[in-house]
Amino acid sequence: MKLSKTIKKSAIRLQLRAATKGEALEELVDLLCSAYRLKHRKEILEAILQREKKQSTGVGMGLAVPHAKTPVVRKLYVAFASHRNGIDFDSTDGEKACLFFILVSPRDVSGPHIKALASISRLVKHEEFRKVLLSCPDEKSFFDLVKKAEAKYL
Amino acid sequence: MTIRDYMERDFLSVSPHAPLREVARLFFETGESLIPVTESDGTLVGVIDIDDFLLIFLPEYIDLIRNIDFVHDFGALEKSSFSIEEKLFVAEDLMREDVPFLDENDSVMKAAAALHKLDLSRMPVVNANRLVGMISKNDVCRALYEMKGEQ
Repeated sequence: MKLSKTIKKSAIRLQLRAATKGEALEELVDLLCSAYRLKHRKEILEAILQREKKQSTGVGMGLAVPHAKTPVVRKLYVAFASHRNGIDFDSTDGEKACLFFILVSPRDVSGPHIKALASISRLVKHEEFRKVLLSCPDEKSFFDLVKKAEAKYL
Repeated sequence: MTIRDYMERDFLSVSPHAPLREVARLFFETGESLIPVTESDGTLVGVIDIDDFLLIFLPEYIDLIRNIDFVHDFGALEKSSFSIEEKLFVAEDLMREDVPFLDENDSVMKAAAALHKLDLSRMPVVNANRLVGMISKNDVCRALYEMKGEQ
């Protein structure tokens, strides 16, 4: 799945303000809801928190991918954010998370959710990509970087 | 003749929290293409289809290509490690919730018709929402064959 075609420009925030995991999840859900004009913020946040309880989506290497399936959305929505100093996110390697992809999709469809998670995994496992993404100055650069990485790794 | 008499009772399932490694182990050890997902009390919550599991590995462009022979090299994708996927996916993320199922008191003919119509190799069998077995095309064919033989 091409993230460059899935993520909306307004769903990118290059400097999260959050200081804790809880605040980061709230801020990411707000970003997702405002960018795609999603109602049901409460239900989306609850679904994300429930999924975090099962297993932290802080997968290490400075990356977190909070995600959930919920009946209150009709299709897949993805947002991206970064944090200059990083946030403790119960990551598997104990490192702070500074790159965040958040996604939600409907409960009755599994394909797009899996494809989006697989695409994110394939891109961010490359250290070079993570580094440039973290120093990304604006939204346009974000899309340029992602498109370049998609051509190379997907 | 009901499904209860022919279904497989010795089935394996995973919890929605199960990590990808456990889901993979179950697929490979059982050789099945459909794995049921249950809560700790046995309530059926979904199934994981091997086709969805395969999506983790496949590039998006595969669906756009008519002839796979045109792809001579899968490049970076083939050499890519599995480091993040193993930490990112749990069973629930791969699961289909809109799962067709049968009741253990349903007839074998109903099971045969459902498996045929839905083009499934096997289906979960429940009793009051709890998974009590799995029934396959092989099971229903055996049941129908035995039944016809007795007539």
